[in-house]
Amino acid sequence: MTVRSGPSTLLLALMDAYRWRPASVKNRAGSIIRLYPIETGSCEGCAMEISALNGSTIPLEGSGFQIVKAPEEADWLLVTGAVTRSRIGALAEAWNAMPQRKSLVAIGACAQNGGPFKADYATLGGVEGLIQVYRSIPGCPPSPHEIFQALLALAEG
Amino acid sequence: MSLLSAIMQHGERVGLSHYRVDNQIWQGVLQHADKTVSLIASWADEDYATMLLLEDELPFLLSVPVEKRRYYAPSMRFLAAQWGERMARDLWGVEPLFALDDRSALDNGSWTLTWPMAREPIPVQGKVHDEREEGYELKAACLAVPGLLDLTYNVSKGLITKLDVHIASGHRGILSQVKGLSPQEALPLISRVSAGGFVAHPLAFVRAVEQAQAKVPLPQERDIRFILLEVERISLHLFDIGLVARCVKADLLATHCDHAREVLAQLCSQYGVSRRLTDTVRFWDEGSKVSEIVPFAQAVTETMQPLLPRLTGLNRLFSSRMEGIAILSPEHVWGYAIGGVTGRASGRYIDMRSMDVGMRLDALRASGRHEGCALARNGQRLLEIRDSLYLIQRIIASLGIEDEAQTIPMTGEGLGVAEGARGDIWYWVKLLHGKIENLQVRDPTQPVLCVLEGIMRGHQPDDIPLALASLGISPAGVVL
Ligand code: SF4
Repeated sequence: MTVRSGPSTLLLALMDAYRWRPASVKNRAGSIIRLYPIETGSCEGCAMEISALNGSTIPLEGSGFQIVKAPEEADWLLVTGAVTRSRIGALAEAWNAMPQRKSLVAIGACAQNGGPFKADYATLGGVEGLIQVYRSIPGCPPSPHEIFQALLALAEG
Repeated sequence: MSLLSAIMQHGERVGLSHYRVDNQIWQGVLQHADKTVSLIASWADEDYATMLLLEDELPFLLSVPVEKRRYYAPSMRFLAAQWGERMARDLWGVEPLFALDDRSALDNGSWTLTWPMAREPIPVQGKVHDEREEGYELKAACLAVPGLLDLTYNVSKGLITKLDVHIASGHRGILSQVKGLSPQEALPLISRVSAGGFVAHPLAFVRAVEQAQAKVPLPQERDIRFILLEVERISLHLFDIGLVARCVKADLLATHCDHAREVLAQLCSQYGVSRRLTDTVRFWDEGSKVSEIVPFAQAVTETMQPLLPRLTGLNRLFSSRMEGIAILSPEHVWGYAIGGVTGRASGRYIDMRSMDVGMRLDALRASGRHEGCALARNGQRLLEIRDSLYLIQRIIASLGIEDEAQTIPMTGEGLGVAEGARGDIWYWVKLLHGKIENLQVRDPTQPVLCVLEGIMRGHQPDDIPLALASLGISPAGVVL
C-alpha cells in the first residue's frame, strides 16, 4: 500500500470530494426547515443513519434543511428510538420547547411503534399513541437516502 | 498452579468452562488472583453471582451461590466489575458486599417495577432518588456519539477534575424480553441490541447457543460469518474515523470516510444483503442468507482497497489534531480488560478472532500500538481495515476449508464471543427445555465507561466529544 501525505494528497482528496459532492434539490419550495434529532432509547442504528444524513453523501443543507442543536430552533423533531419511560420527559420537553407550526417525524420502526422492543417496565414502545405524529419513515434502519427522500416529500406536502 | 487449574480441582464443573465454587473459594479468588487473571464481565441474579475471567487468554466462568440476596463483590479485586454489579442490583435486587460503587446504574426512577428480573418484582411506589452529583451536565444530544449517554463533570481552572457517566435512560428491558423465548425467537431482538454490532452481537449469541446445543456450523457457514464480521468491521471503523475527523474539523477526512462507507453499504445491498448487514447472522441449521458470498467479498476488497491509501494519507495530514488527546494507559487497558481497537492502541494486543476455529491467523497482521491517544486509535483502525480486506481475500481463497473437527458435550449452557469492531462481545446463555432461561451480555463499551473519568481528568470539557468518538463509545450494548 502506497501512502502519500502532503500537498498532493490534499489536492487529490479535494478533487475527489468535489467530484462526489451530491447534487442539491434546489427547487424545493419554501424556507429552510430546521431539524432537531432526538434519541429515545434504541440500538442507535437510526441515530447513526441521521449522522450519515448530516454527512457529505446527502445534500441536506443544499436542499433546504438544517440540523440544529436545540429544539427551540427547530421546525421538525426527528425521533429515533422506542421511547423509554426515562426519555418521555425529554421528548415532551423538546416538543414543548419548539416554536409553533412544529411537526414530529418518527424515524424507523422503533420510533413508530417500538419496532423489536415491546412496551414493558422500561419502554413505552414508540411515539404512536403518545403524541401527534406528522409522518413516519419506516425501516430498521431506513437508509440516509430514504430518510432524505421522505423529508423532501414531507416538505412538499 | 494457575487459578483455573486450582478451580478445576476444587470447584464443581457445571458447563464447558464454567465452575461453581463456595463462598470461601470465591473470596479466596478475590483476594489472591494475580495479574495474569483479568475480569471480562460480572453478573448476578437471585441464584448465582458469576465472573467471566480470562487467564492467559483462556476464558472461564466462576459462580458462587447468592445467599439472602447477597454476594461478595468482584469489584473488591476487579475494578471492571462495577457496572455489572450495579446493573444486577437494579434488575434482580441482589446486593454486592463491599462493592466499589453502590449507586443505581439503570433504575433512575422511571420504571413501573423495582427489580424487574427478580422472581417477585415489586410494583413501584414513589420515586428513586436520582443519584447524580452536582456539576456541569452534558446531555446525549450535545455529544458527538449517537446513543444515550449523559455526563456530569466538575471543572477547576478550566480542566475536568471529576466526571460521571449516566446511561440509564437507554434501558429497554432486553434481558427480560428474551427470557422464555426460544433462541430463534430471540434472534431478531438480539440482532438489534446495538448498531455497533449488527453482525457481532447476534454472532456471539448464536455461538453461545450453538455451544449450549453442542452444534458446530459447517465450515462454509463459519467462513461466511467471518466475512460478514469483517465487512461490518470496515464499515464501523469508517464511521468512527469519520466521527473523530468531524470532531477535529478534518472535514476532508470525514468526507472520504462517508464516501467509503456509503460505497460499502451500496455494495451490500447490490449483493442482496442489507446495507448495514442487519439480520444476516443465522443459526447453524438455517442456511446462509448470503447467496453470492464470493462475488460479494471480491467486490468489497476490490472496491475498498484503492480507497485505503487516501484515507491513511489524510489521517496523517490531520494527525496533529488528534495526537495526545484522550490517552488511555496500558495499566488501564490491562486492568479493565479493554479490548478492540481501544485496547490494541494502548498496548493490550488481544484479539478474540485468534480463538475462532478456522480463523486464518496469518491475516491478522496489525501488531498494535502503545501511545493510547486518539491518533493511535485512528491509525489502528486503518491498519485493521487493511487486515480485514486481506483476511476476506484469504477466506475466499479457501472458502469452507475443514478444520479439526471438534466434539463438544451438550451442557444446556454456552459462552460465545465475537471480536466486533469496537471490541470483544460476549454472550452467556442458559437454556431450559429449548427456551432461554438466562442470558448475559458483555459489550466492549462497558469497561471503557469505568475508565472514562481517568481519561478525561485534566482535559478541557471541549475535548469530551472527540474522546468519546475516538474511544468508539456506544452505550446501547451495555444498557440493554
Ligand atoms: S428502528 Fe431498527 S435500526 Fe432503528 S433504532 Fe430501532 S432497532 Fe435500531
